[in-house]
Amino acid sequence: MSASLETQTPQLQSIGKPVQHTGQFKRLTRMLFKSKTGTIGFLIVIAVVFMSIFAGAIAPHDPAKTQAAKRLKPPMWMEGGSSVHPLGTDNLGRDVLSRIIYGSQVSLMVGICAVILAGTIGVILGLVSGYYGGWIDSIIMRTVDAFLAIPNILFMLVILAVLGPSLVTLILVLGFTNWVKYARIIRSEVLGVKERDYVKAARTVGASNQRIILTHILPNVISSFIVVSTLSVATTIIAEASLSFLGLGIQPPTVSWGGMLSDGRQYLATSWWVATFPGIAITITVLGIMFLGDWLRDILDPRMKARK
Amino acid sequence: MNQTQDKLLEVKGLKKHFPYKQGMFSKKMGHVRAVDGVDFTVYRGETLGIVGESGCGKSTTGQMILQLLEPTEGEIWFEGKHLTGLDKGEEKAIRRNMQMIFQDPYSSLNPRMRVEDIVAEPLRVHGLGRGREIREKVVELLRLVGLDAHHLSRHPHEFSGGQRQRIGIARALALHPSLIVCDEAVSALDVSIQSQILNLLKKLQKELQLTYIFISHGLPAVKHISDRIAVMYLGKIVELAERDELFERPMHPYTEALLSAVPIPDPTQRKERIVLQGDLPNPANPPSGCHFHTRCPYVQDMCRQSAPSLQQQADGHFVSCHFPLQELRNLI
Amino acid sequence: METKLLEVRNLHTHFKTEDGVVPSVNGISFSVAKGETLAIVGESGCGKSVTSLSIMGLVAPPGQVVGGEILLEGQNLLALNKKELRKLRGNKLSMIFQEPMTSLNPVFTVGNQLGEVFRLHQNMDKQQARGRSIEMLETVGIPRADKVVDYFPHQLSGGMRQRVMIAIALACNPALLIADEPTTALDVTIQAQILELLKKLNDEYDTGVILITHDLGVVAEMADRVVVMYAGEVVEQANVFELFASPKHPYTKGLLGSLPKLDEQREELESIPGAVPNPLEMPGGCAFHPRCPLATEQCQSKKPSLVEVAPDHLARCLYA
Repeated sequence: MSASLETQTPQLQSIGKPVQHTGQFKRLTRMLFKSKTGTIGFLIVIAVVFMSIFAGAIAPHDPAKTQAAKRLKPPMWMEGGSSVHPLGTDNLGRDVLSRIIYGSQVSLMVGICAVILAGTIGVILGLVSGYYGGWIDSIIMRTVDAFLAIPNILFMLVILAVLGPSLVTLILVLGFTNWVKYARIIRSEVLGVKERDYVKAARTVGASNQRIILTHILPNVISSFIVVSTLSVATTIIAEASLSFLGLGIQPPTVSWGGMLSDGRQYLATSWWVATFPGIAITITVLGIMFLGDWLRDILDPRMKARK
Repeated sequence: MNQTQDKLLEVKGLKKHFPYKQGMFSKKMGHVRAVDGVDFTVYRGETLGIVGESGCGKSTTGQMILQLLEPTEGEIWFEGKHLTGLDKGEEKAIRRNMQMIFQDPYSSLNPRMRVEDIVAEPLRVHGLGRGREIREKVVELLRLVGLDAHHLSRHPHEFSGGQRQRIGIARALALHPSLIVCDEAVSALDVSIQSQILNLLKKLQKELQLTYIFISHGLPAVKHISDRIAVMYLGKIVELAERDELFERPMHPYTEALLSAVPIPDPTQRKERIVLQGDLPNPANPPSGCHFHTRCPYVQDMCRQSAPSLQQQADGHFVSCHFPLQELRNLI
Repeated sequence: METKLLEVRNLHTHFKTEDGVVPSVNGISFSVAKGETLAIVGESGCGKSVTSLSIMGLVAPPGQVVGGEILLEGQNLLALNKKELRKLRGNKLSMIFQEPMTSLNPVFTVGNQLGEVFRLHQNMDKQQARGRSIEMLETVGIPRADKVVDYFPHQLSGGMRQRVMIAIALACNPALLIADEPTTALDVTIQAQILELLKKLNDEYDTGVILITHDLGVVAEMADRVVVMYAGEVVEQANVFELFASPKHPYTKGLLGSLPKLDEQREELESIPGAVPNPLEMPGGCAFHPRCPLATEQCQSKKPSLVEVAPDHLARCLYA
């Protein structure tokens, strides 16, 4: 048969197809560094991760060590500051820079764990809801509606008040309030994918529902999950900071950026650096994650890629 | 068609009505009669073509045969077994013997899977062999459809439309089915690729004693590959006959118009065609009497009132019309 | 030869991709006379649609017209700025697309969309535009035009939408109409209606038509002259009768041979082996040689040029 001559690969159609996971690591990095914001985001995220892992080695001081004599020292470039405390000290004489470095641990931990928890619940419920439809779908989607109807912050406050604030409760609370959006996104993706012919083909060969969901549907909806979850890490970091600011988050002596903001609030007029630097740290981290998320969305969405 | 009259598939009074909903409280407003009472038989080793325009119910029929959709009414008999109410084990066994080739070579292959896994999936689902054994079978299947072993670890996006369609065919052949439903299997392909696939399907039919149901809106392709052809209009078969009989002596006015509407690739044969007026009626609200009466050039009062049924007019030539053409021409 | 309405000379349109430059249209030339129907045929990826978009000035990045001339009644369209081009489009130059579902805006009525053309290009007021719209809908054979003018696109069938698109395209009596696969998405019986309509309008208005299609049946039915494209180039060009009766290029021969026909029955269809080459890895010499049954060693190295092999019959083959 003549077909053996058909060794050519795609034509124009291949342009605008999604990047496949064919181990194209080189291609990915090339595409990363082509995008300015992607590169910036990537570098920021790497820096923050590095900072939290090696906090013990980088931080110049013990973040919990109080020094009554050195209260509210300004940053090094201001009058009265010294290079011993480059970003100054807080009301108890603790080193602001060291506290920011250690605070990144809590922010990342809460951000990532809460998203993994929310994502797992949301993806499973979204898959089940979209694939099976019918009454299962109705129940799950009405639950989603109910969750959306309760103001998130109220829900979190009640639970935190009942369970008492701790790192674990914080993660649980943020996880259980955020699964809803994953469930909705995954469900709508599943509704599209399950009508594709390859799913029908799998049914005609007699594949079980479980097999169809795991091999044919999940891999084809997961990219939107990745994009949304990256962006969610950023919003969760902000949520953690807000709760800590309200005093319902991480409790001392554990350091968190939100807690630092809260501590520094009283001194904003006289010693602005106590609250400002953790605020800047939150902003930069969140922006970096957002940039990275946008870039991920661009490369995972074929339509976005075609426009480049 | 002088084959042994061994019935492989028999469809009796098959119907599929889709409820459609409207309004705030999703009230059921009525039914779209996608397939509205279809009977036919497919004999072992033949190709039955089903041709018709969009919305005529040809694809829905194919999907019901393959158990992808549940019939509203009617019976499907396959290899002597009634296909409704089967338990899971029986259903899985039936699935081995019936496969499908899809229209769109881009959406019929999972973009995240390698060719080897795509073609091997039916074998794995049915637990037929393991490891090397499966790989050998896959290579053999690929060879059968004209692809090489070095394609095994590639992904679908690395192939052209024609090659993807070959992969889909290899997957359909993996379980040695007796019946393959080809749903618009060549419609999305370029002309030169279409002929490659049509030739391949014919070759495979001969080598593997396959039976095809070839569903398409493209008359030339249907004619090329089919032994018998059923013409569908608004959920019903309006005419069914052997290929040459149908093309030489179409009896239903719709078939006649359909044949006349196909542009002939020969500029010396430009002709006055029978151009049907109007559009296909809405299948949720089909016309009274004969469904075709709103567009029929020969319509009579009787056609508006009573619906004709599919009757044998000549040997193996079934028509659903009050005035099958020859008769009518004599009248006018 | 009659007066030339459109002349395309040595047009190049390239697409820049991450993997390199794709020369989708690679130096094509042809012309359309007043009232003539020119068909451009070829398989997907041959550059026929990019050609039409280039003429309309609608090539979107990463694509770009990088060379050549497109003369409409002697005026070079490539030298015009965006505003001048917009004035021409919909007026002298019109296009109908394949997908009647997506080429109408779902939130405006038929009358809004059709009337806009008259208001934009002929400075009519609302009332006049509505009147002309109804007339135009009648011209394209839409029954109850005075009602349909207030319909939204979703209330119309595919065939009706394509008629509305044709009405919009012909509203200002364009000199040139480009029809890109105008009937591909339609059913056979509806296709027959639309083809009849296009023929009738072509006769009545003396519009030049470029018909882009992959369907040789439609070509035989409609065209006066035919351009066959392969891999971004013209491989053959001739009068429609001449082309079907004695094709010179092996690709054209292959295309014609691979068609299943209603009036004859063959056991096996001829077919062209392989697939269209990847535009980033064009074969050297003649672009068709890897698929050509007649290819010799010379075809691998020497690129054939488009030569006149018979009166008014061009082919790009060393052995034509």
